[in-house]
Amino acid sequence: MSVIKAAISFLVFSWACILQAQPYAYITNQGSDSVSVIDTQTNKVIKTIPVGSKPAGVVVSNDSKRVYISNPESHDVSVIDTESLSVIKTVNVGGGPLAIAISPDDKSVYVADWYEDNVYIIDAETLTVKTKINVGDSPSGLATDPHASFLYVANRDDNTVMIINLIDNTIVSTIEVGRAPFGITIDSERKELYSANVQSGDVSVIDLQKQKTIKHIKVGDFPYAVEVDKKNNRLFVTNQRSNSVSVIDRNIMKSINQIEVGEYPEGINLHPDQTRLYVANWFDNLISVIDINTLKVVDEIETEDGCRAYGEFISNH
Amino acid sequence: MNYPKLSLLSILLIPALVFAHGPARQKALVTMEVHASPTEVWAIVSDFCSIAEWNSKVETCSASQGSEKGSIRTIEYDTGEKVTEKLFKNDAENMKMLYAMEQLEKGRIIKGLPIATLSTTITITPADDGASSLVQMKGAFYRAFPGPTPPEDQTDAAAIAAVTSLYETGLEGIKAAAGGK
Repeated sequence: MSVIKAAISFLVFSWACILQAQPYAYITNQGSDSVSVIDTQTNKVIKTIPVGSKPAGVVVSNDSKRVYISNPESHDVSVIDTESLSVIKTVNVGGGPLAIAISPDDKSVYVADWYEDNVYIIDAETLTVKTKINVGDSPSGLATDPHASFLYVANRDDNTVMIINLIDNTIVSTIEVGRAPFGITIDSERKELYSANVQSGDVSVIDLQKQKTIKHIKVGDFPYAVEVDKKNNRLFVTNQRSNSVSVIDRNIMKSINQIEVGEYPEGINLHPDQTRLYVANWFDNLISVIDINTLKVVDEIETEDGCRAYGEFISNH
Repeated sequence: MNYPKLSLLSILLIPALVFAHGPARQKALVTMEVHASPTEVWAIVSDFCSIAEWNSKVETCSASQGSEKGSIRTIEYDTGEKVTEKLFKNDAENMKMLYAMEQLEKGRIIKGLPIATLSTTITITPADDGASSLVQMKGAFYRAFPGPTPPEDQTDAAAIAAVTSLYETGLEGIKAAAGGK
């Protein structure tokens, strides 16, 4: 009897745990070849997963079942299963894989190789490279479109963003942006794409219907990545050398504030609850959590050496 | 349950995986205690061209706009190598200075300093109730050699050693300028 009771209460407890499961943040630590898993409910690191060499890029699948990590120095992609929180496969891609993105249906993973100027397409089912597309010089940023079969690629050393049609894997457009574009982010409803331009210290706004840059917005020094906050109609941009996050008001398309964070902020993501931002500070091995209403840092989480979290690093559930 | 086994396995595998194709960004960090107040130490370093006085590896310095943000200085090292650096932050209130090397010509290797895109932060914080200071120099940089197999004097380790030595020499000089304690 007591055994059954215990079993039942265990089951109830397990269900409660599952129902309360919160999004996890998967942080690449480039200096220590690992991924820190943060439970965003408690803001504590619950596990550190060893991956390949010098991990940088990250993308969580839309169904939150997998995380893909790019390892530039072991030239491969680590595939993490989010239930066991362990690496289930390592996919060799060659070159220097950095930026990584996933299709809306989770069937294809895109990896930009900034040494060999290719984008590899990994079949998520077989976990093998199925296609290779030659792009511009030093591709460093990738974005997929939730509403269309397009892939966007920032070519850092060409100062361009390319649009690739994923039906036939052809380049349909090449758009001039600011100097040394790195992270790119799409707002599909608004039909806009934003690139953080490291050398020109600004964000280019691309109108995806006209397929051209319509505005450059000045931010801090060495901007790296952009995040969209649709609710408040804002953009957030990490500035590596200003140790800050710029806040852009999209109503006036201008920077209205800079939030001080740690040193060398890189990856930035809005939490699915849309109340806080997570920012990885590479030099300080620290995640800053920002309240998007007060624009203040409300929490800090220590990671391992050299956190970058470049990509979509927070799961949906 | 098999986590310890997995991590042990990975540790064993990692050395085999390190055959760097391209450089990853590196860090250097040196801190020194100087027996002078933060205000005194800040006065030694806050002029953008004072580096020629407190770093014996630097022979000469001239700056385009003095110590204003955006000023570009040209420094000549004792090796005869010249580089330009831009001032990004000169924050007297928080006693913090941030400057970074301007982009080097493609393929250039600086003699004795095999790095590219070095940014340096100098921070002064009070110690010992303000009677003394902690002076910290932090650097973020890439090794200059772009390919997978750098010569021995151009590896990541060589780059880290060179930047660390540059900072140690600077901090020794700041200490000497503050009275040598």
